[in-house]
Parts: sequence; C-alpha cells; structure tokens
Amino acid sequence: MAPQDGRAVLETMIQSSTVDLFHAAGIAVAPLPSTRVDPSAITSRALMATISFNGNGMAGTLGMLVPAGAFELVKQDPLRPFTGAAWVQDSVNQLLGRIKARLLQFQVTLQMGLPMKLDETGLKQLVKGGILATYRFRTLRGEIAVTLSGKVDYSKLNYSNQTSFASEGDIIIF
Amino acid sequence: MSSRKILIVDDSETIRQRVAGALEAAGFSTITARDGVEGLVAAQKERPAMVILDVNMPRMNGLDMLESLDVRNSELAVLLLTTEVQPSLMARAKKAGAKGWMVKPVNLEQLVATVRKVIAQAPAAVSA
Repeated sequence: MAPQDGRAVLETMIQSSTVDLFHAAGIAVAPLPSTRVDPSAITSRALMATISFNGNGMAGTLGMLVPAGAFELVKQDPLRPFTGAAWVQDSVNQLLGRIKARLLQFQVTLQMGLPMKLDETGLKQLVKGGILATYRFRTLRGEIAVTLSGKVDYSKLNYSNQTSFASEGDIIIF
Repeated sequence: MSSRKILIVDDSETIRQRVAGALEAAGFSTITARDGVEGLVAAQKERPAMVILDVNMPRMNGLDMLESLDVRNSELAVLLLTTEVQPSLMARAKKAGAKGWMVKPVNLEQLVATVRKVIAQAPAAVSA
C-alpha cells in the first residue's frame, strides 16, 4: 500500500476505534481534525496513560489523555468502584487491542506492552521524543487526546480480505 | 471446590471490579488476582470452580498461567477475557484446556450467562 494510503488507513482506524471505545463506555465523543506535528496540541490532562507496541513495520507508543470531567461520565457500580488512573490505563489497553485487531486484516501483527500511568514529566518526555500524530476528541466534559509516537512504516499495511478474526465483544466457546 | 466461586485474574483494576460486581450480583462469590503469579497462588489456595483470565499481564501472562494450571487434568474451568484476537493465541488456549475466549469489552450480562453455562457443563457441577 502507498505510504499516504497507509497513513490514512491507520488514522481512520485510530479515530474509529477511539469513538467505539468511548461509546462502549457510555461517553459520546466527536473527532476533531488530527494534528500531525503540533506539540502545542498536547496538553496535560488529569488522567493519562501509555502503552507500547511493536510489530512488522511499527514500534512506538500510544498515549491517552483524558480530562477528569470525562471520567465522571463513566458508569460505576458504587459497591465496586475503580479509580480514574486504573480506568485510563485499561482504556488505552483496550484501544490498542482494537487497533491491533483491525491491523490483522492489513497483515500487521502487533505485540502489545502493558499499560502504564503517565505523569506530566512523562508527557514532556513523550513530546520531546517526537509525536507522529495527535487525535483529538470533543466530549461534553472537555477534550480527549490520543497520541501516536514512534516509527511507523505505512507501506507495510497490505489489505487482505481475511475476515475470520474475532472482534470486540465476541464470546467463543471451544 | 465451590461451584459458585470464581477467580478473576487481570492486571486491570477496572476489569476486576466490573466483572466481580456483575458476578456477585448474579450470586457468585469472587476472588481477584492481579497477575499470573498471584492467580496461581489463589487458584491453589481458594479452589474456585472457574478462572476468568486475562492474557497480557505483568510477571506471568495468562497463557503461561493456564498451562501451569494443567486444567486438562482437573475440574477447573477457564475462560480467557482479553483484547487479543490472534488465532494462534486462541489455539494455544484451547490446546491447554480453556473452555472459551471472550474479547474485551464484553457485555457483562453475556459474560455472566457464559459463566453459568460453562459451570453447568463442568463435571463437578454434574456430579454435585
């Protein structure tokens, strides 16, 4: 696939996966235009996490930055509460899982790292290391950002019509 | 072994809390562990009827824990709950004796129904 097409495919994948993920959590999000090289678009949020990945043609980090207000929209069982820090780590993990599942159709197999909490110092280091793209999403309670950093060879994305992969929410009994 | 006791092994606090809450509301008792090492200890000590197991975790991943449990030679039922969809990983879990594979995020009502179904089919439940 031509690099520019591969880039568009990955961008669409990240945006649609993020919308689906937050929709599943009960949070309506609207994608805003992505910013590829503008680090000023990346500002600290109350809840931040990253997860690393590597695979054929790709190695880097996916980041998620969420304002505290957006987390307040997440439904919780009062008997079994969880923290915003735990939730954002789980969310970035699930986001990469969704992207990974979609990439299988493009013959890219990613290995996922473990989600990690990100603080302001870590965010500065992430920005200093170079951000490939920032995807922004408007919510009723502030703006969510997803960052992509590292190296991506977009020409490695080659579509195959293989559709036997499981997807989110599937339950397969052996 | 209690046929109502479920062990949830996941490094995500969010998943542990959500799944435990749904199962307890359905009448099961739950115990939780944060990785495969804690999970193995809990499985041996608590003797649950089922383990709900994540794949990607620190210290020991879910597939390594599953293989260590040797469930082919026990009454313990294991369901994987993960973001992974790679067929090779599912095949490994099936070979190790897991009963099923659930892709996050799973509808909690469906998860509870699946747990009920798998436990009802377990040898211990039939003979109990």
